[in-house]
Amino acid sequence: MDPNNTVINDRVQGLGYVGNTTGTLSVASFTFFSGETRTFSTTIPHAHQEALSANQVRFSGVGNPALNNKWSVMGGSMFFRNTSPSYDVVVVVTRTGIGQLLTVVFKNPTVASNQTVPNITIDIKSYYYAPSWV
Amino acid sequence: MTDIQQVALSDQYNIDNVMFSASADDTGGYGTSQTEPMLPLGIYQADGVWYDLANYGNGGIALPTVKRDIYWYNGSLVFTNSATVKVAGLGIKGITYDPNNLYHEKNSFIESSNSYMKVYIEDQYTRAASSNETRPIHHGLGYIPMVLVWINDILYESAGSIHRMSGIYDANGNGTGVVVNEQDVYISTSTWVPTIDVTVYYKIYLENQDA
Repeated sequence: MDPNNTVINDRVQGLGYVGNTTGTLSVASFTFFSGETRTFSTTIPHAHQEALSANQVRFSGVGNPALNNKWSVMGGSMFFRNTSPSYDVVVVVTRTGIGQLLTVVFKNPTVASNQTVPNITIDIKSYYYAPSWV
Repeated sequence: MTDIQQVALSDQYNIDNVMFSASADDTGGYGTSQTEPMLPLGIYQADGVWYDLANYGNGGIALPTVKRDIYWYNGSLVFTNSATVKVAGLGIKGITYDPNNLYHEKNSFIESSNSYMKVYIEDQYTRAASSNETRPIHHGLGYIPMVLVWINDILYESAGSIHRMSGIYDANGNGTGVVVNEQDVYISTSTWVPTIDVTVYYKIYLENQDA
């Protein structure tokens, strides 16, 4: 069976798009100490509990031009490291029944003094696809 | 589907095929009959909560408290704790699959009411050990397309494992990421230097993620 073969039969199934949802999490500027972790979360609704999903996130307001206002690829989480000020951001998306929990963790990885995170807005999109069991 | 361009192009490019799908209840691991590597895509349930496949990896930040991981390893779907698993596998370009070794939960025909993802570019490349790079992949579509990226051996640095890639920590807290704009996809592994060669797989779809 060739995955590049475009012939569709009853044993080769496509990945069908069934819906999407969006949400936003705003994080106000804050200062944290060396090694400290801060967690923010929000829940966005959806009605596709058992469909496959793929999520994307986009940051606005971060100092890193490579990531600011660009969507990540489809996946469940995203990581980036900002160097000045020094902090890591991890975005994790999980399901919680009929809903989707977006959790954002800021971690100060340095041994230096306090680090101040600017105002950041995090947009998320969740896409749902139907495989054979849906 | 509202984009007339996507309708016109749907006959010109491959539709992504799900080569494998299954669900199972198990503890400590679930082996499949796959003899060829698959690109995992799916969800799983642990302690009553649904997670996206490959959300967490070994060495990742401990969030939430329940941390699970699922990956393909030596032809098997492996997960680390008790869970209800539903997973689909996508084929990798250039590999011929033996239909006798594919397991389908049920047979079904393509549902024409669904909007199927259309593969525009799919390929793979090797990132050499000890290298440090951000690789641009040009698509030139003029809009931000949907993209999926996988990488093997990034977390465990052992042969045969494949993980979804969007943002991944390694055991040392270093990360990697992928971003996409109207012209290019950037696969960055600049803050993580592998000790062995790793393979990066990517699929760029015609679907406009910003529509």
